[in-house]
Amino acid sequence: MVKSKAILLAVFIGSAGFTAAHAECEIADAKLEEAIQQNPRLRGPANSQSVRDLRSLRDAAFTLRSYGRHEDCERLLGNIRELIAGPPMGSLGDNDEEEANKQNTAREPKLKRGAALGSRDRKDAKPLLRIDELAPGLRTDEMIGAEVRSSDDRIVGEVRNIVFGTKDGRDYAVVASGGFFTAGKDSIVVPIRSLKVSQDRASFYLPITKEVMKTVPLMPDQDYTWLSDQKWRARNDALFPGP
Amino acid sequence: MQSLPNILVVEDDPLIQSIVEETLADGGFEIIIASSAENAIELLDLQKVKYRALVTDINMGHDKLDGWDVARRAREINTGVPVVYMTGASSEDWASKGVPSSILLRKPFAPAQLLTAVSQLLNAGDASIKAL
Repeated sequence: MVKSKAILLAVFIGSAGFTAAHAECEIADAKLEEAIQQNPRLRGPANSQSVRDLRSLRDAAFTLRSYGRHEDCERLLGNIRELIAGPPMGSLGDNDEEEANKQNTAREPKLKRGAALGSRDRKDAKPLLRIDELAPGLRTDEMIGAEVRSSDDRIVGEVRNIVFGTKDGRDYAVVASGGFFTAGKDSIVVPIRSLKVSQDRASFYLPITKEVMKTVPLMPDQDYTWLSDQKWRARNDALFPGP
Repeated sequence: MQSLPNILVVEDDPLIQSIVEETLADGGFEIIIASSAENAIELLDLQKVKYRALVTDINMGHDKLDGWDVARRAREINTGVPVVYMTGASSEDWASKGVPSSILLRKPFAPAQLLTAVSQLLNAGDASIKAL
């Protein structure tokens, strides 16, 4: 049912005077509260979070409409209707945070900077360079966010951070995994000297085999206390070949 | 088939009454309106309808029952019913006269604030029921 009716734009309840405008976004038509009351699926405890989310979306639609954003409101209502009609959140997993983390960890990233398989096997592919062969040298903004690939040209992850200035001069690229070898959102620590880079500087390569890659430890903490752990670093760095 | 979730609105000002009604109806609720505290308490006592929430003005005339009375009666009948108070006056009595876990909206407020307040209390109510 789409009907045109007056709503109060920029109205404040209890204040004098208001402006009337015509609304096209009929929020009540989404029948959210009716669905919450009558749909056994939405009444289940596994879906309490989705009920809260749906109400938040409904309230947001109301706010959009009060600002005259009727098209945005309609779009949001469309989403609400789809979510009401769609599969229950319980079937998509639990709403328990730990469980959600487990699922996220096991999930491969949806967005990859490059294709899963690269183009190193093309005849015209130019040879990779060592980092110290680059001229001019690399800038950090060229590295952070760049994709990292394995020796067989599969996505490993992307460079999330760089560590410079260790006392022993070993600099590192922190590579967020989640790609082909190490499923999940964790990171590995790669000595920068062992990286190779494509001539267009778009991709970095780890010259290690798939078998060795599987033994590379995950970065033990996000606080970088591993930098002080010489044994851990020595064990980690030994897995990567020198320049 | 069950009816829509009912909200009892208690407000003596016809203009505010209509805005509140329209706001909550847009939110997908069925609205039952009482224009005085006495009228509201009568409706509550009939217990013909299970109200999902109460939205009430506080001051509805001198020497009359007020929104504090309505909310207390509503909570006697249904201990978990969400309560939203609306007032143009000071909210200093809320702590002593208001029912626990209620929300007080100071006039003027935007319609979206009212809907959000009701959602918040309904969500909290759902969560506490499940926690039992």
